[in-house]
Amino acid sequence: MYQDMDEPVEVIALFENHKMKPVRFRWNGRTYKISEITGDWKTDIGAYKVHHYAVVDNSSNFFQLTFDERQTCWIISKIWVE
Amino acid sequence: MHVDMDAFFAALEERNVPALKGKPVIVGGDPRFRSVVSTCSYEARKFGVHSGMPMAQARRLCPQAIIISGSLKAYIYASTILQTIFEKYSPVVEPFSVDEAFLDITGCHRMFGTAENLVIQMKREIKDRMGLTCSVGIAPTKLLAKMGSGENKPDGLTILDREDFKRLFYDRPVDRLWGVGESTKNSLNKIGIFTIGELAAKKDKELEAYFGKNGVWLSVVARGMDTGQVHDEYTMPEDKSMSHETTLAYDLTDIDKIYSTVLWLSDRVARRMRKYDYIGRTVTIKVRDSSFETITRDKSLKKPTDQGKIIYETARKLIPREFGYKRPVRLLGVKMSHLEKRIHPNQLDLLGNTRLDKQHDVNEAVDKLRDRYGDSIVKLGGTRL
Repeated sequence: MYQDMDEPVEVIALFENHKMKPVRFRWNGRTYKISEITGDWKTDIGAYKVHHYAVVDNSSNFFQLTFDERQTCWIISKIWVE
Repeated sequence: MHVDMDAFFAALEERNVPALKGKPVIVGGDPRFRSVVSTCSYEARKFGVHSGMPMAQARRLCPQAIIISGSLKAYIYASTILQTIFEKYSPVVEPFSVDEAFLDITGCHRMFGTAENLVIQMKREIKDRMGLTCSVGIAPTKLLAKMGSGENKPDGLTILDREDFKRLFYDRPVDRLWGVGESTKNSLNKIGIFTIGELAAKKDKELEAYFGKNGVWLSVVARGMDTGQVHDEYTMPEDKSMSHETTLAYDLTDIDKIYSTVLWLSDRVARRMRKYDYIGRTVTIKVRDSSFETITRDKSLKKPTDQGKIIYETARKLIPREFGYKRPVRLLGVKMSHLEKRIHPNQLDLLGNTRLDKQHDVNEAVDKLRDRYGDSIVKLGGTRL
């Protein structure tokens, strides 16, 4: 099931073909390599956009990363726990 | 052509979280409250779960199902991407819901060789870009196309002409016909019509005598003869009414909470009317009690309006007194009909009613805030109960 989170996270992102792609992130002292972005979408908060990424790491763990343009910060917004 | 995404919300969740693949997934409201199934994966459907089913019943049928509340914003975003894909394959696209659309492909198929090639290419693009599958019906009418898309799910393609329709559907129960629900089915059953073929065999006049104008429509659709056109945003007929309704999380017996919900619904209807420059004359209230008995009451206003306050004041007076304490309320709805286009966005009272003028300024300011920051940025005090 999804577990809602709201934790800041350090993310390394690649800008490619006018798109932002998170490639790696550090959370709780551990570094996760993103093997696949399984989904991405945007939501609006006023004039700002919030970018959401559904990602899977090398060990098939699921995370939802969110980049808030207004605050210029990344958070982990969801994880999937069996 | 009708395109229907396969278990859209559940498929998006499965795409995002690969661990869900092959498992029964139900997307819907919070199961702790009274909610319904929005959609479910095909694995869940094997247990008898389907869209619109109460969540409690779905959990009983499939206790091992993974229930997800889902993210409507993510689904709407995916829907807009779908729309851009559809527009590559036809200039006339009529979105039918967040996960369905009609495409007029008359002539377009020539660019792709055949209609079948067009579909194969479109399906491939949807799969590549979104990781999703869809089912498609191709037919000379919207009705047949819609019926066809439901035939070979998931990832199906069905091409139907009227003869195929007769062969495939005439033996099926009459409620398999698009637009025929439980209530019409029961009425048809009462006069001895159980299958689509039996309905098609009835004379128009006989059906008209039983069902009025709807009888003629039933006769036409049962023969697969509808003449509905695919409309894009430029040719879409104008709205005849606008409404909002909600099934409550629990039955309401407190009249103040009922009024509070009616206020919220009136505000939503009014906002939508202002957004599309409509004013309406008739207010209708719909109330369903805990025993599923539904009543509707309407009242016409002296002057058409797009003001939530006026709609609310009219709607609340239409709620019969016994609802609430004596008859717990399960569902509430507010509808505005007899709509007309507002000639001027600031069309006001000719006699210079300053109170209305001020209300209009307030609405305009609130609408601007909501356009920019979302509907929840400003809430009416009366909806906070």
